[in-house]
Amino acid sequence: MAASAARYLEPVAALPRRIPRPLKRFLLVSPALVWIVCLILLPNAFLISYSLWKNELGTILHVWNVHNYTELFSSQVFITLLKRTLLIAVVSTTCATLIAYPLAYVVVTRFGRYKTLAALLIIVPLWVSYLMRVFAWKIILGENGVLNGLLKSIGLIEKPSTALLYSTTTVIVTLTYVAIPYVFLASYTSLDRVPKHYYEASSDCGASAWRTFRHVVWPLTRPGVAVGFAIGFVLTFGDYVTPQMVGGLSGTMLGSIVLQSFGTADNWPQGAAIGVTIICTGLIVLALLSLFTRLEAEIE
Amino acid sequence: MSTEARPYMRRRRRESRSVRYLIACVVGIAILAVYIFLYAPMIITAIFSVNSSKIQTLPFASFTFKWYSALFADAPMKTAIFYSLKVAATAVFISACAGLGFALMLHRMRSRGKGVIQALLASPLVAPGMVLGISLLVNFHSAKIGPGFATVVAGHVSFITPLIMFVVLQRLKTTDPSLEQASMDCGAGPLRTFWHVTLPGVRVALIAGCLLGFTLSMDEIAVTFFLAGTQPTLPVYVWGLLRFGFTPEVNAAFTLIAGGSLALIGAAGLLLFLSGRKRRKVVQLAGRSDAELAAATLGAAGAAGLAGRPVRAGSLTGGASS
Repeated sequence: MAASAARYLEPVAALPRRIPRPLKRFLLVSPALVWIVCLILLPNAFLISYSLWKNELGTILHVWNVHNYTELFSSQVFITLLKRTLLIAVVSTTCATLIAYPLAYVVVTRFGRYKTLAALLIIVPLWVSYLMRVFAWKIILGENGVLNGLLKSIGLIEKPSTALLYSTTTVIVTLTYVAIPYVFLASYTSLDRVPKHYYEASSDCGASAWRTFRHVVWPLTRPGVAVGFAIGFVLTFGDYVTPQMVGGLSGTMLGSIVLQSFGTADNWPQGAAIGVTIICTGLIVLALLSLFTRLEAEIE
Repeated sequence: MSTEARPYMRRRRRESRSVRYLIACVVGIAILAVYIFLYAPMIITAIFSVNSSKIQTLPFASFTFKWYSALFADAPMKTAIFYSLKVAATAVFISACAGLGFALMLHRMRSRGKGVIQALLASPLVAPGMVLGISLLVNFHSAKIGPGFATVVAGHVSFITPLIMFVVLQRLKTTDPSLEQASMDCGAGPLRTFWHVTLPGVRVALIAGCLLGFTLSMDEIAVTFFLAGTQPTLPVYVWGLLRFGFTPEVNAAFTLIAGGSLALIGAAGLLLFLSGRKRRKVVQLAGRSDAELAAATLGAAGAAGLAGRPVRAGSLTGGASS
């Protein structure tokens, strides 16, 4: 009886009393810590250390140096690729944001009870094979593709255009397509949190729809958009499937050389160095975004 | 009052009815265009999977199922499919156990480390697949584990676990803690309470999370590519096919995968929706409809719920905080 009375205040996951509290807490968290160390911290640490090791004809010598980085950043090819990858990622994520945010706004404000369905329909493609979605663009944009066939049958062009596939633009279109659901999701959740009476109050005070958006909705949802943009950017920046599939030579991105370094070129340290560069770029963009999107107001 | 209201009224009247209709039409067409943009690739692949011509172009030649039968006659493809299923099942099982445990742990944690742990656990979900792939590859290489079944499963587990964790966490937020306390009061031990009270409470979310994780595992290529040894999973095998020349079989394979994924997502969504509705009768959930809850959970899985947090920990001021 006394035992059960003493037990009732303890949390469910409680271990026997004998173990001191701080240790108990640590034991509770420890599986997660082991997990984090094994699957997240160690891999990244090894990635960094590999990038600082020397490669000699495919074998890795454990000699610490920064040769991989100096070689990369003095190589014209790498700089060109880095610039192009940045450009592609920024342009496609910006396009995705310009499409997804207004869409989310209309869905939240105008669709009423169907807004959840409309939002789900946009998110569902995220769950369908990435490879399939990218590959389909090859069918659509290819020389004998659907778009060319369509244009020809309308009579807009005489000969199938080869300009559609294997270019930077193709990669941008495909990555925009890939990024839209992510940006939409972030925009939608933040827009959905703005209470309905904020719109009403603003309009009661005489503000037009545009002014309501500019002074009430946008400041409240800007951080959400930034989150969406950040995710979109990071995912498109580190992608290699799309450039390999639809990019051709002029659509090559950093991811493609990482693939090469770990595959045919067999130069792991170089690949690791590029990987670290990609991670760092992603972190820098996150930091910049967080600088520019300080929260001005918060929804209660 | 009337003087203040006048400019507002005047502005409203200036937009005539026809202009409003025009705007509505333009917006409607734009929205339709986005939906078409999102779904066209999948629909086109499905259409071409039953097109008898070997060249992927319009006009449509004739209807056929021969690519599907060719698919099932292709021995390496079949091996790849079964291997993928095995990987997915193993990965989902491990992830379900780990994800449930982490969700319960995070739900009960009150200390400051919670946000950091959550963000770190979620990071594989928002990291680009390539980064996750190569970092795990060098990790296993250093540990002298060759690429193969174990590494692929580990790669998949690393991003399915946070997914399941978030779906379960979402559900835990709406459970009533007094149920567990009541169970303990009645003399049930921690294990019994877990089995009879906690687990039934999150069961549906757990199943839904598993279904979502399963589709993710079946489709995953970016991570798997680096970790697969000699035996490729289905997407890796198809990727190889695409690089060395194309057969319309691929369309058939994609259509089947996509169909399977959609069925699993549909099942997961339905489960969450229905259980959300049942739950609402028991637990009062202020202001959130069932459909919204299901969507939020699915969405959380997709990115936002997750994404908001890791990015926040990266000091981006909380977009997804509430």
